[in-house]
Amino acid sequence: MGIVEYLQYGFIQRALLCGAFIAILCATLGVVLVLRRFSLIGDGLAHVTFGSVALGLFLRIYPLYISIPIVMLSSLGILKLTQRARLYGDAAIGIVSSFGIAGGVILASVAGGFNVDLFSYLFGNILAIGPEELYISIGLSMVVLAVIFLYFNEIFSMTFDEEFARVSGVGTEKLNAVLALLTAITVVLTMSVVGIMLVSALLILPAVTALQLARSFRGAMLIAASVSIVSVIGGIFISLALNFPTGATIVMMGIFLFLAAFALRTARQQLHRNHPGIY
Amino acid sequence: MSRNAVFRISLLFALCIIAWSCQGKVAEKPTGKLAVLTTLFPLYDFAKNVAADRAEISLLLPPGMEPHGFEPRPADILKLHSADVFIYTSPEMEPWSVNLLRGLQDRKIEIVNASLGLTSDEKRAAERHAHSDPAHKTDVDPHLWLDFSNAMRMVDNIRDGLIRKDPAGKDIYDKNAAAYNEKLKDLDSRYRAALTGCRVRCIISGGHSAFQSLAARYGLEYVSVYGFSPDAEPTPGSIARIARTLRQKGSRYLFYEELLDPRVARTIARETGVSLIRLHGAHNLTREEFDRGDTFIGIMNTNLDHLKTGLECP
Amino acid sequence: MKILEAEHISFSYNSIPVLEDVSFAIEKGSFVGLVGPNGSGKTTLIKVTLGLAGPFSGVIRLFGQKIDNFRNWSRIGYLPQSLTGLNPYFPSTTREIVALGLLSGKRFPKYISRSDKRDIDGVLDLLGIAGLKDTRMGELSGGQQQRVLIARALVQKPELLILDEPTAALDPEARESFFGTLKTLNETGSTSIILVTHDIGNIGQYANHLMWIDRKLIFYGGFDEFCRSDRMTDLFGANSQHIICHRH
Repeated sequence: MGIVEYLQYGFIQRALLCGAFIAILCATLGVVLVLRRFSLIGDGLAHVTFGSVALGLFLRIYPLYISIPIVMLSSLGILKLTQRARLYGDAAIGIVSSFGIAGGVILASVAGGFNVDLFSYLFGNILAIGPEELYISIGLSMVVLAVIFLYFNEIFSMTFDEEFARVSGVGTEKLNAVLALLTAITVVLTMSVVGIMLVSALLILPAVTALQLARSFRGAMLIAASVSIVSVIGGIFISLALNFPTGATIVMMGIFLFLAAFALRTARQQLHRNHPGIY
Repeated sequence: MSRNAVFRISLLFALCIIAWSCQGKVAEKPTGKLAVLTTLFPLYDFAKNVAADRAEISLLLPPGMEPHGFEPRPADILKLHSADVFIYTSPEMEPWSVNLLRGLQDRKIEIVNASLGLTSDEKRAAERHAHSDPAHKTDVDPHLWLDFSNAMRMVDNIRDGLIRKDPAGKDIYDKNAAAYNEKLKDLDSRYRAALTGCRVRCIISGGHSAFQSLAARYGLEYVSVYGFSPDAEPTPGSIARIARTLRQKGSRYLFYEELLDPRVARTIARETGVSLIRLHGAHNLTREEFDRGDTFIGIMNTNLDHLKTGLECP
Repeated sequence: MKILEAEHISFSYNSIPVLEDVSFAIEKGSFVGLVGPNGSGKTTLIKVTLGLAGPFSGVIRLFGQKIDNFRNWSRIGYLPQSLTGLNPYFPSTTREIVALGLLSGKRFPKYISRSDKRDIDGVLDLLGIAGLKDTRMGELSGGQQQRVLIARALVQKPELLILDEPTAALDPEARESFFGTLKTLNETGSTSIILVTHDIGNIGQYANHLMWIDRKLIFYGGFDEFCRSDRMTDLFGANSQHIICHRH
């Protein structure tokens, strides 16, 4: 089936458009998260979402209404743990994540069964995006990107040296909390649209790829966003050509781009070593 | 707080937890009746019909759970150890059952592989049908109970297993099994009658492949988005193919499955403007269906109605 | 004008007292060398002053305002103690890092303008690292990184400069040059400076005040005062006093 034919399908068009927005969203947020050692927060919050959906089904409340507040609280909880309990982000995420999934399993057990399979309920798929999900994703992307754009230098300062940022009058407590909440909402909503594999990968891979090559913070953000879009769009087209599962293809594309960046950086370093005069 | 105090409090805490968990409910063995543990819903329903009052049948899978994602909990292991009979479909359908059985040292328990005897003709026939559809290349369709002739054989296997464990009840088991198989035979002929002369000769599914053997039995084609494993991700090709098939066959309905969120089916329906109808694979029931007391035959009857609508049969 | 006042500051960490009843008032134009043995609470005092540590008892006033209400952070330049918390792979250029020093003077949304870029280049020149402005932090030596962070503290021409061990990674030549720059800033630009240092041998050459902290305030006053004080001779021994004072 030709690629042109594919592009006539609504679900492919939505995959491309929604994918692009989510790509930029996760890439920019991802740079901040990776630099602060919160790379696995996507997975961690996904586990919490699992527990919160179980809670929602248990209490017979529409799960998304319960998930978003609970995941937001957990995100703040992770933040607090890193501040008070002398932990780095990865350990704090592990704690909250385990709690979420264990809670969900127990709830599922106590409830004696639900009317729908929890996992299939939670995780979307990029090939199955509906119009409402498209609007939500675009709306969310714009909000988060606006915040990052407007507070760009404050976020930069805080990520580089939180103490100094505070002495510059940056409200680090509030900004940290805002970032935690935005991350939570991003993870829950994008997970329901494209699934956790893709969300986690898009939060981490473009960011680490950018870190291989970037010579400035602004550059890092731009490279991450570009790499992310290329992964998504390129991944979709490749999956059309080869008839591969699209989500997984996108992730593979991301990994390939990372390896390319790594090779490029290594090559640059070698060049430097052998010809010190060359930039 | 001194180190000594911390240690003593921890010890006290640990003792309390141990004492509290010891009070937990011990699995009660009902007096006289056979304890039968089944894995999936069809086996549960078959066993209930065959054993009637002579046994207490329980279903391992909790309501609402999709069998492929199932992981046995401690209470499940306990149930297994206090069961007299354990019935499962096949190692392909429930791979986790193999692990469960490995841990079992009690030789007194009667283990019933319900798919016994389905290895020769029936399974090979299913295999042949599977090979003819490019979407399902290698495996045999493990959803054996959806071909009612297989289901009848499964009922017989269950009957034999119960007799082996409880010879005293042989007459009752024979009678009940025969009666239930009559119902299945009747179901089969009603299906055959209803599904001839349908306008659409293809069951189009927006979910996993489960009705391969059922379709083949009544001379219908069958396509689905995924293969057997629910972990698989759909490819753009598989989704587009279903959309194309719907258009080609001029079908106005797309079938979706039970329990799993029909995300992909909904996407295809939105794309093609068809309506969604459920085809229940009977792996397991929702909490509601279970409380309501739905039966296998009841579910298959509903399926038949839905098939008649979806395939536009006279 | 008093730029920094401390009234009965006490601070404990994990029930261990770190600062006990410290009180002092620093006048505008002072160049204070803050000295004391390791673990004496010097860095803690700085952090408490800047609102980075708490809770503490007592009152801190910056430019006459209690720190809870203090908002004019652009009047203060800060160099934190160590670079160890810094991520060597952090993607940013010298220019970008120094630019961060200008944020305190900006209103929302805080963007860097063209005139800002000139200020940044100016301070990079001052510290002799103009050639490194587009170099990534991770590619700089320890001494160069230190100078970038000093530039960050200086770029907005603060009235009060607080530096915590700023010359730890610098070689003697760079150190001399740096101290010279500070002295000039203090005398001509009337920038007040508080400099935490271990280098008691050199500080006397540049600073005009000495503050000695060892959990309590042992001494605060002008250098001459310190050097003439018999009490200080008793406390530290003539040798130590001489080391500090002979250069002044």
